Amino acid sequence: MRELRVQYLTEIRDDLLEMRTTTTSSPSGFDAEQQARMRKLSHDLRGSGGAYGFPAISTTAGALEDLVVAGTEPSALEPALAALERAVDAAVAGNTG
Amino acid sequence: MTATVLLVDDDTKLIRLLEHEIRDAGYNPLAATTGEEAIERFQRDEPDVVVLDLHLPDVSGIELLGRFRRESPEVPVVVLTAQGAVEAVVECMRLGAVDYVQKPFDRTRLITSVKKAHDHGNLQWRLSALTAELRKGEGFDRILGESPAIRRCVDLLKRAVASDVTVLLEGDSGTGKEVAARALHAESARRSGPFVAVNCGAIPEGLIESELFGHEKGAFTGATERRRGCFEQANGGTIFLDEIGELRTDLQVRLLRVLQERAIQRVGGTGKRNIDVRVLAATNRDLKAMASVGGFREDLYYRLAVFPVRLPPLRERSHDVLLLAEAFVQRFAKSHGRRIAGVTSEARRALESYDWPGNVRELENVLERAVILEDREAISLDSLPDEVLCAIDPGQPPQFQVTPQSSAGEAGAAVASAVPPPPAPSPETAEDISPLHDEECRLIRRALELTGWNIVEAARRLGIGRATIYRKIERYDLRAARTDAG
Repeated sequence: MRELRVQYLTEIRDDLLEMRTTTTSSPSGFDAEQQARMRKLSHDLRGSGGAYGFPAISTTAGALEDLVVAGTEPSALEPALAALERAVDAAVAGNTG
Repeated sequence: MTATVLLVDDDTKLIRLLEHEIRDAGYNPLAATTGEEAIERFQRDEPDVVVLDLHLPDVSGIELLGRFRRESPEVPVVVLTAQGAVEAVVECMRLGAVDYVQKPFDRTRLITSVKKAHDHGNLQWRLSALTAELRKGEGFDRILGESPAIRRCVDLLKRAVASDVTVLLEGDSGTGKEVAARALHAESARRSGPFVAVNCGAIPEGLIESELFGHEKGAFTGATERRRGCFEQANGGTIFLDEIGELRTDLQVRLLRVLQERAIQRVGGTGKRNIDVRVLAATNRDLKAMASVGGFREDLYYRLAVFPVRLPPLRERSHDVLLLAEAFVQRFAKSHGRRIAGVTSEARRALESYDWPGNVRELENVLERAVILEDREAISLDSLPDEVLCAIDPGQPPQFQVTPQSSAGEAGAAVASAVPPPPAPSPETAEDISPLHDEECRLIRRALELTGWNIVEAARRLGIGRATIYRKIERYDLRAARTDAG
């Protein structure tokens, strides 16, 4: 299980990076494809974080997904995205400790 | 054998975890990340359980659930849902999902759900197998026979299966009218519904109305509770009205109204209740003739005889007697725990020769009795009743032998050979005494030889009945001895 978690945390780093990049590159608004992609990435993290033993990832990803679904402008997603990133960092730290 | 669980989710990270948890719990995981892949694996690998996420890239999870349920309703499906997706959960349960697990899932909750689903699936398989086993032989294959008369009858019944048309089964007593009615129900779309049989001739006059239409509490003396009648009990299925010709006139009127309005009113009740029932009726009387003389309501007759089917008497399908006999012997040998494998050739001849006024039911009763009575491994004449034995061809007519008269001048008229058999030598000592059955066998053989195998004559001269001599011929295998002697 530990190896699975390590692999998971490694992979979701890429998802976080993609979300960060998409948000930064579209300050005024997402197009449909970007919207769908942001929603899927945050939705998947919401569904998987807690299952892997990282409930904070699920909670913060869930908050981000709700904002994306509500059509929140990318610039206003910053706090939720940052919270998710901190949750992942904490999970990594906890998993390696 | 390890149960297989098909995991369907487009999140490969979650699939990896699911596979791990499922394998860890002792199941064999299969994975699919798209709807198309899920369908392919479902059809090819025939999983025991499916765990299905509702968000897939190419198809709705709910749509996929519906498809799985249609294709293999015995395979249980557990759905993975997002938190708060109440409507989706309700829809999934309505479509037949056995459970749901919210994401992010708890391992214990997931495995409990999969185990519950697997147990549920096993129960469903066993129930389906048992139901199929019970239903085997309930349909038209229960109507045995290869004669043209019965095949025509079965063909007609098959045509009546596809609709709810009212069928009137006509035929003598014992021809299988109830068997045909049950077969028709078992093959119809109403097979899952009830089959309620009512013998209109057997129920006391004072009770038949309540029996058919039910009654309200207090409707008459003794009606201490409300009761649903046979029509209500048959709702969604079939009602079989046997001996419909015995129904008294006022009830014929009520029945006609029920058939017209598809609603009943209980005895003592005020309101009407709609019913969804297919009506099959049966009679051994000529209802049309009765109707022409006022013995049966003509309008009711035509309501019932929308699709009349006549079941032939056994004498019109005599080729089926032995087929039916073999089937009955098998069935009763099994049910009574007897090791009886068939019917002797002599007994076959007797069964074929008899007229069977009681038709299939009489044949069935005779064979059941014979299976119980028979001492040997095949049904013989010994275990058949006299009335069946008496139907056997009496054998060769009397043969006449001209014997020259000792006194001259008398015409050599043909006379029956009456050479007395040589008397059996009386035993002189105890050692000369032979067993009684040997003596009997010798005497009967000699009587047959001397009468030219005129069995009737031999029986008369021996002072025994025809049935008795036939039994003894078979017991001592005398026909074979006659054949061997040439």
